[in-house]
Formats: sequence, C-alpha cells, structure tokens
Amino acid sequence: MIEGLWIGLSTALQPLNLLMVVIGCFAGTFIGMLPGLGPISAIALMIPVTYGLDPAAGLILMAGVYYGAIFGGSTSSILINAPGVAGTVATAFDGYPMARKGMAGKALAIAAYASFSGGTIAAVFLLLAAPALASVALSFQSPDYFALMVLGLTAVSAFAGRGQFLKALLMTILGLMLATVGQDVSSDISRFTFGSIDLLDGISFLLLAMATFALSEALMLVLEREKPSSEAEKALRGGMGTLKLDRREVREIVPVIGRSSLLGFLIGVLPGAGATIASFLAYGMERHLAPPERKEEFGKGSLRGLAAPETANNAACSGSFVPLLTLGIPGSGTTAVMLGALISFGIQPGPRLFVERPDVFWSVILSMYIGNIILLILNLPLIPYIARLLALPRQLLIPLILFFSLTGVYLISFNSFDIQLMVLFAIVAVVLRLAGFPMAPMILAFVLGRLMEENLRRSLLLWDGSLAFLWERPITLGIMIVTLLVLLTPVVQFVRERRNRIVMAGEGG
Amino acid sequence: MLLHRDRVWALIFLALAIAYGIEAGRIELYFGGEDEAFTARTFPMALAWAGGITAFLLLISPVDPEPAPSLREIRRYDWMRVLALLVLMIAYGLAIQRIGFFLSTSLFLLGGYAILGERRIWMLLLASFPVVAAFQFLLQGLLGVYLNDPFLTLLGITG
Repeated sequence: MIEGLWIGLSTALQPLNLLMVVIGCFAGTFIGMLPGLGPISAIALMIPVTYGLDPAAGLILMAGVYYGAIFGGSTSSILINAPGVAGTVATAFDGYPMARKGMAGKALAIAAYASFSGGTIAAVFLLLAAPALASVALSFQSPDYFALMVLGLTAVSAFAGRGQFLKALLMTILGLMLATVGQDVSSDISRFTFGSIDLLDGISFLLLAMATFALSEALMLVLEREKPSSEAEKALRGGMGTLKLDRREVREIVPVIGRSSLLGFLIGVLPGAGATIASFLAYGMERHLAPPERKEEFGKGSLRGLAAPETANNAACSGSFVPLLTLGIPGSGTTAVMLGALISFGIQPGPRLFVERPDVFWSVILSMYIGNIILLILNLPLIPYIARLLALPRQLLIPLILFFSLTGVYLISFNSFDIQLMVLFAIVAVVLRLAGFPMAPMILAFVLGRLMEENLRRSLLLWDGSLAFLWERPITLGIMIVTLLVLLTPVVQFVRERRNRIVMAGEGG
Repeated sequence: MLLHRDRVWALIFLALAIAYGIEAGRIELYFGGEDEAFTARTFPMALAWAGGITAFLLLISPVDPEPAPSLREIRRYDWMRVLALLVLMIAYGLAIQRIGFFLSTSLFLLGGYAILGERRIWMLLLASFPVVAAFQFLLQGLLGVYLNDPFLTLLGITG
C-alpha cells in the first residue's frame, strides 16, 4: 500500500497532472455553474480532450471536473437559486436565503469549506476502504459480477425518486438494449444494425452521453426559456459580502461536517444512491439533530442547513469511486461516464486495477485531495470572477455548448453519421425528459451492458445453461438477496403510502 | 377520455420491447448455435421480456394525476427555436465533410447565435469565424489533428 501510495503521489504531482487537476476544477466549476448542465455533461464534454492524454492524466482531469462541477452547481444554487445539478438542490434551501440577505460570500465560503472537508475526509475513507474492498473482490467470479451489476442497476432505479421506479427501470432496460447494438463481442454476429455499416461497432458511449446529457440539457434550456444570465447579473450586482467566518460560525459547522462526511461517504458507496440522496439525508439529519431554536432557521439561511448537504454531496462523490475503482461497477451516472472513458483507454477498472495499474488507482485517489485543495485556495477567491461567466449571454453560450458536444464526438470518429445519430438521440432524450424519464440509469446500463452480457455468458457456460449460478455461490446469493430487498423498497413504500392515504381519507370522511 | 401520459409511454415501451424481441429472434446464429447454452440472442431476448414486463407494470400501475411539467407548460415551451436548432445541427452534419470543418462550423455557430436572438452583426461574426479559426489552429497546428477542409484548401490556407 505504501509503495502504491508513493507511485500515486509521484504520478499525481507530475506537472502535467497537476495542471489537469487545475484545468478540471476550473472547467468543471464553470460548466457545473450553468443551470441545467450537470457533472455528467461536464465530464462528457471533457472526454475528447482526455483521448490525447495518458489514462492517469485523463482520469485525474475527469475527477477534477467532477468536483468542480459539484462546486459550480453549489455556486449557482446559492447565487441564483438554480442548482446546476440535483446534488446541490438541498444547498439552495439555505444558501439562496443567505445570498438574499447579502451574505452570498459567506454562503459560498461555507460551501467551499464544507465541500473541501467532506471531500477530504471521504478521500481518507476511500484510501482505507478501496484497497480492502479490492482485495476481497479479487475472489469474485463472473456470477458475482453479474449479480453486482444487477444490484447496481436495480438500486439506481429504486433510488430514482418517488413514483419513478418503473420509469427508471425502463430507462435501464433501454440502456441495456442500446448496448446490444453492433457486433456481438464473443461471436462477431451483428445485431440490430439494420444493414448499416456505421452501426457495426455499436453506439459510441461518448456519443450517447453527449446526446442525452450535454445536447439535450442545452436544448432543454432553450425550451424552458431560462435566462440564467440576467439572474446572475442581478446577484452579482448585489455584491458578495465577506468571505470570512467568525469563530462561532466555525464551531457551529464543524460537527455538522464530521457527521455529514461519514453519512455522505457511506451513501456514495452504495450503488445508485449518490450525491443527491446523500445531500437530502444529511440535510434531514441535521434538521432533526438541531436544537429547537436552530431548527427554525432551516430554510431561512441556516449555516447547518448549508454545510450539511454541501459536505455530504462531496463525500458521496468520493464514495462513489469505491465501487468504480474496486469492482469496476459504477454506482452513478457520473462514474458510469468515467468507466466508459476508462474502457476506451483500454483499462478495465476492477480489483485487478489496484494490482496492475497502481499509478492510475492511487493517483486518482490522491488527485482528489489535490482537487479539493485547488477548489479551496484557487476557486473560492476567484468565485466572484468565475460567476461573471454566468452573465455570458445565453444566445452565445448555448450554441457553443452544442458546438463542443457535436465536434467532440465528430473529431473522434470523423464520421458525419455520428452527428445525425446524436441529433436523433438528443430529440428522444428531450421528449423522455419531458415525460419524466431519468437519463442517468440509461447511461449507467449502457456502459455496463456489454460487461453484464459477458459475465452472464461466462456464468451460463460454466453452469451448463442453468440459472443455478444465482444461488449456488454464497457471495452471488447474498448479492441477489440484497437486490431483491432493494427491489422491494419501492413496493413497500407504495403500499405504505396507499395505506396512509386510505387512513387519511377515512379520517377526513 | 384521454389516456394518461404515463400510460401512453408504457404502451410505447411495450411496443418497443415487442419489436426488439422480434428483431432479437431474427439474429442469425452459426450452424448448430441454437443448442448452445448462450448465444447472441440470449441476452437480447431476456431484455425484451424484462422490458415488456416492466412496461406492462407501468401500464397497470396507479399514475400521478398531475405529472410535471404539465401539458399546458409543455405547450408554452419555445419549440420553434429548438426545432430550428435541430435543423441547423442536421445541416451541420450534412455539410461538415462536403464544405469542410472551418466554414461549416463557423456557419453553424453564426446560425445558432442568430436563432437564439443575437442580432449584432459584429458579435455574430466575431463569435463565429475567429473562434473556429482559433479552435482549428489548436487542433491542426498544435495537436496535429488532421482535418479535411476543402474550403481552406481552395483558399490556399491548408494543403
């Protein structure tokens, strides 16, 4: 471990890699700040750039973008009450009221300190948990991997939100279906290509990610006639106030940060849960724990209410790297995009990564510390200036996003068919978004599709075509039981809500 | 009575799952491949069943009476601009290899700005041609990415 840490440290501290963290943090902050554009879009927009880099530098850049995007999302939540990402919705509950009271600078500083602490504490947990889990995972076989992927995809759907379970599950299946387009990996038989040579290699994950996130999110901004620039101008004109915190304020948020870091990390490790659930749970927990006089401040500019979700969402980001780096199974849409990028680098994340590519494994973990430091010492003082970018007119910003998305894909394949396919996917994505279908389960399933089919193939061949592999190995059986429990969660929730409604109707009548 | 939006989507997904299943059944296998424990059809067939069952469950499950955004909100959206941008993107895809990266991308950006309401001529020109020129210089001049550009070749700028 010490040797691996040393290799990681020397890789992460190489000037190019340090530059990548800085660029990543800045680019992520800017993109994450734009309302409607989340970390998945931010990372997808960066992928074409990473193809020219070595895998460690590419992943470091993406990790920087991820952190930056979350931080950027907090900035727009606080300044203009328009969270760039779902993970920072809870930040707006108390961050925006603070900004309206003329304490935007203080709110941004708390967000930055909380993000830094949450990210750093969780990175320490990651440092300890990842190698331990990786060594356990070395004993995993194809049935276990298959079961884990089923668990991951089920969990993403189950945690998609109230009443969203079936829709998320359908999107998961759609993602898996899209992954089957092209030549079958083991037999080279073409499937669902409809005679098109352009589809023989399958659908590129970058194309799908760009179309369903960056392109469709930009088109949604046009559709909804959102004008973030005018709101931002107003917020910036109002002034930022001081960035400093006094001793009482620090004393108030320190225990919140400690609790929310642990909670955020644990939620982040769970497949499918991620930053959004972590931030809401941390907010709820702090509200519950607060003394009565402090409880009333929640929603009106509470320091605890701001620090809790900010800490938890960053800690969850670090936590979500645990299943990605140790099992090769992403727990969220964002880490799924990263997995897609890693696979295109020729690297297969999983327990072997820890042994075979310690430079990638450790440098990514260590670059998270560096990313957090950069966000704190460079981004925070520069926020008033970076926020000015929000005031860029929408009519210039959106065509530029479309341009980077389209050319990002075109410059890899040099095939104009890809642009047409992107437009088609973007149209479908916009329509599905309007109908309330979440996109993250689809991209996660798409990235896992081929791996899942390969592991199912191996398992079925080993068990002579029998599904008994699902219960004959204790590890597989354990994972499948957890999957069933996760599947039952929305059902139980539904039954409970229905019963409450009937009771309430009975009382009312 | 109008069918609820979620039910319409359930029917669409059900139709998709059936069509996908039919197409999965048509995947050609090697001679004798049908008897193997796992073929190129196995996974797609399982997905078709899973998709069909899930779509059916959505069809019969209780629905949210007021889904967001409401149909009234959707009707108020800026569809014309989005449609114009989609046409512009398709045209860009058709033009990029015919007239080259520089001209097609510059015109794409210029058109995009104009569709979204930018009317200042100097801004339209400044934010399109010079931006693409700088981007192309970065790609070709610094990163060594080859871009076939008939327009710039015609002007004698690239070889």
